[in-house]
Amino acid sequence: MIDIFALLVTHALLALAALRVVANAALDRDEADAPEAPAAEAPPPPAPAGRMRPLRAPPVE
Amino acid sequence: MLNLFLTGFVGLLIALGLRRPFIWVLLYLYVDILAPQKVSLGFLSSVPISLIAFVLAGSSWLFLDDKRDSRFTFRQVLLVLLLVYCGFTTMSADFPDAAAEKWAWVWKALVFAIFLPLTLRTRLRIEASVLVMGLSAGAIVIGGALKTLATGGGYNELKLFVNDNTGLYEGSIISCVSVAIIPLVLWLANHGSIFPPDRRARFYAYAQCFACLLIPVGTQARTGLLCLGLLGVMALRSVKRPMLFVAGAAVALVLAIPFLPKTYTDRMGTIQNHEADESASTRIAVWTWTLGYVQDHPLGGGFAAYLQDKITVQTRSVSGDGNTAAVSVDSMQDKARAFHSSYFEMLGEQGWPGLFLWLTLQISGVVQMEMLNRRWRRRYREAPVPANSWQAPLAMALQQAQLVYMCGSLFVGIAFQPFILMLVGLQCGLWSYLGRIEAAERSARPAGRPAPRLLRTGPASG
Repeated sequence: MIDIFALLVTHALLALAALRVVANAALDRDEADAPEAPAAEAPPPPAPAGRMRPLRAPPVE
Repeated sequence: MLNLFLTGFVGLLIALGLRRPFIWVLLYLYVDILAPQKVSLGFLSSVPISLIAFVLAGSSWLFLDDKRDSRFTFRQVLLVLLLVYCGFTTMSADFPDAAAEKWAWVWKALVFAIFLPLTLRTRLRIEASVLVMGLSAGAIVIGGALKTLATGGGYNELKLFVNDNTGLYEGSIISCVSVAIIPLVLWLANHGSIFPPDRRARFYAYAQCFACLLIPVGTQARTGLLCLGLLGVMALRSVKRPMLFVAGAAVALVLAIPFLPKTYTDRMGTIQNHEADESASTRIAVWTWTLGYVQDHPLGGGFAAYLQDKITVQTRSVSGDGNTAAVSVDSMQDKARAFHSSYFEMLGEQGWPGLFLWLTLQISGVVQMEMLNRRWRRRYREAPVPANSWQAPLAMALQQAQLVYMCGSLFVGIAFQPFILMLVGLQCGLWSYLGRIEAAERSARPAGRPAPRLLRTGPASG
């Protein structure tokens, strides 16, 4: 009974993990981890004339 | 029913691999760690599931995967050299049949450790591998821990899923591995993206860590206690409040002692008094024999060279106190005793060249993880964004896992334990992956300009 419980719990998590991994494009293509040095240092685009937007911090995960 | 369940799970992974072939690499990790074909004696035991997973993982990388980011690292070269050298000693082994039997699984473990880093070219792949290794070992650990709570366990008495003393199903080995995976489980709880670090993920991770702590108690393996002690010391480096950690550990230890089985405390007492313990005395006798053996056979005797050892074991026990103490010395002959130490296993079986290669492989891993830890910790200090936060802790967790293994290896012959070779593969993969990112940044940066402070975007989301 204990063995069955341990197997059930861990395999449920393994199956969920596998499904999440399969659904995530970052598994094969790691754009989020690619260096962005030039982009980070590039000057900001000019604001449209006559319109000013308040500065807002990027969303934090 | 269990057979159907495990077969269904393996079938699910094979099916998912049709969409993302990397899943087959995870399938091999799972099969090699948990050995579902041994847990269920039905359909899975009648098919070569390990070989199928091995072929699927290898061929999917060879024919389907993008290999532009795959790099061959220095430590993979060491693994190749070790593989070739072990093949050479197997051909000239003192016991060809026994050596061939061990070679049959050692070469697969080595080849997979060489192969794994080539597939680990994204952060999510590295994390998924850590997760599957942690959960697969967790299945064994959780079952063993619950039985320990229910029965108290016992030396050679704790029944895991499989009772054939192979792979992770041997008491001392699972004790060592269960302690080694604690840092990795904690890393997943704090930096995971497949299971984001919320309350549920942390609850499971802490529960599994507690189960890992119970395994050395349940198996009553002295190796586990030594590994735990080392992990406790190393944790001082990674915890935020070391003094609080020391105080908490001391209080937990004092509270736990009354609940420990007497057989456990008695057995742990033999760590100090090894002369009275036959098992410890046998180890020392075998190690002495090995040192003498390599004087005449510097290239080693091949796998299972221990079969030729003939040793005299002396145990010395003292009864009574002070002037009334009586010392009794017993002597017995023994032969074909295993090395009971990875270091002496390498020395006796692979000789000085093999030991040198193996030690270089292990020590270079510790050094590389330390370098990664320092570099990425500094980076996180300079640019404290979530995307820079996971690398240093993972390097440290892999380093701690390896040091725990090296400590456990002092007393257990697990030089080629597949789980540990997977850890080596993970280290190579992380080293290669982060090295590639750093190299790309260096090449993207104009000469003479300092490193940008904000380099990367958010982590891979789950």
